[in-house]
Amino acid sequence: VSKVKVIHRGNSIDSVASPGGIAVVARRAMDHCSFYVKRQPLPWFAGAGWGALLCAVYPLLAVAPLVALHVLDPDPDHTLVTQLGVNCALVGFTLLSMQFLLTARLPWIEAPFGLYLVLRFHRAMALMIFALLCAHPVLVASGESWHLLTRFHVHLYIWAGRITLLFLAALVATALLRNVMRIPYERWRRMHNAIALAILALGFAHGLAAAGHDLNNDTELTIWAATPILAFAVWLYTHAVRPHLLARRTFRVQSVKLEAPRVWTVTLDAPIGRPFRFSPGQFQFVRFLDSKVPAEEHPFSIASSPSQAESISLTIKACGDFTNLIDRIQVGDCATVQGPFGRFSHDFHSDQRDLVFIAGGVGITPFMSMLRAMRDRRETRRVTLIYACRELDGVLFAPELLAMESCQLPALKAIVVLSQPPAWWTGETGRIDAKRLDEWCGGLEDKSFYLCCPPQMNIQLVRDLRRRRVSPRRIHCDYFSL
Amino acid sequence: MQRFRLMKFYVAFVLIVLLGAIVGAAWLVPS
Repeated sequence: VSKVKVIHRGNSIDSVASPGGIAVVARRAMDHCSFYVKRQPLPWFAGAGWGALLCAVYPLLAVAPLVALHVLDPDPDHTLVTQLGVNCALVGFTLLSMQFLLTARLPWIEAPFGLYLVLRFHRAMALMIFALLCAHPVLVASGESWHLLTRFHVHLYIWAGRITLLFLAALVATALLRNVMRIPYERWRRMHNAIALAILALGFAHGLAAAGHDLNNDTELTIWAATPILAFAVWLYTHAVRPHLLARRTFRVQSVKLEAPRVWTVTLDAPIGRPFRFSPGQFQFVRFLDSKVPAEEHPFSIASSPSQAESISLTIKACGDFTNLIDRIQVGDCATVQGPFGRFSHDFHSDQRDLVFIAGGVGITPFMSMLRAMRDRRETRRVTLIYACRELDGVLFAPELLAMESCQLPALKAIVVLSQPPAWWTGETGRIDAKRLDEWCGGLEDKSFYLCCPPQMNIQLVRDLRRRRVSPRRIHCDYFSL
Repeated sequence: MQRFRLMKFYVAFVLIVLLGAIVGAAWLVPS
């Protein structure tokens, strides 16, 4: 019974010395396992239909104020060029307001696409907004007077518009060049949020003053102001209301375990009566409160199985300003957990039966969650795990993987590839490419590839797989940073 | 990967809709 508990709490079975012993213990544990865990149904808003509806609504919402204002009150005073400039501003500002919704991490917006894709879309739209709002003053000035751009002594609202554009340029530049400028993520995020709010407020003031005389009645004013007010409400929710709600149901650190040099597994207990539901492979944002680590919010993949919804474990490598302090976390510390997020899970692709997991270093974490879930649910899908590590010391969860492979729960074939192997190592070494994947997997046809590895390795593997004509439908990537 | 490819097409689609609306609305205003 204790062995069953050991395995089902997701801990490695370190006490068993030999691989044969592991197999015996693991099989006995599985045989005596009295429960069979069913897969949790996905939320209704995670489906493709809801995603398609959101995609259809987005451009309609973006042009709705423009169309409504033109239908209600076409303004014949403007020249064509000026009107084009005004329209650019109206659409650009509506899109800018909608950016607050996109980045609010609302489950019903994130779930059909995954947070990484939503943020990529947010970046693409930010460039579009920047282009539209830069075109606005040029078009209006060319239709009205170039003094609007060149004169210093102009109306205050013109200056509000100019400062809005400067802030927007700063926002785009810092987002694109964050790594080059070496701005720490948390500082950049705080700055990004503050500048975005300033842009919304200044842009609103500029627009209200500039278009005030054109908005002849309350209906027009309401249409014009609806999206920025909604954006402000979303900002208030995400920065004031939600942190307060999360702090009311904090998780508590159950254990901090050293897995390997500079790698820890932190297990958090969910609040009593509020189990944390997620799909294996997903991640969440964690903020430790009243702890010896900064109260910053960071995304971490979940390593535990969703069948233990009363607790989650996160395996974290010390490789950054924040993660270098992970060993300071103590049992009993409180943390807020927001999530789950992402679509990097075999649960979202139930038609794919033959899976190839490619992990680089600590990238094994989401795969452990998937493998543990498959074990708990007794799934019959075949899995080939290619686990690339620099050194043998860095190989995580080796006993547990060995146990899974030995008892074929799930049907796992694990291959460890070391780039700096010890002299006695007889296993795989060197770089992973599509040719070697072909050998290890027995062909690439009908296989689905899940990649969670450092960026360069990820790019190279995707390129290799695409060259081998693996369909993009069958390549799924998780990323080390958002 | 498939979703990223689709997103590129979708961004292009949104751009066309927006530009169409901007130009169309300016064009249709009686001057």
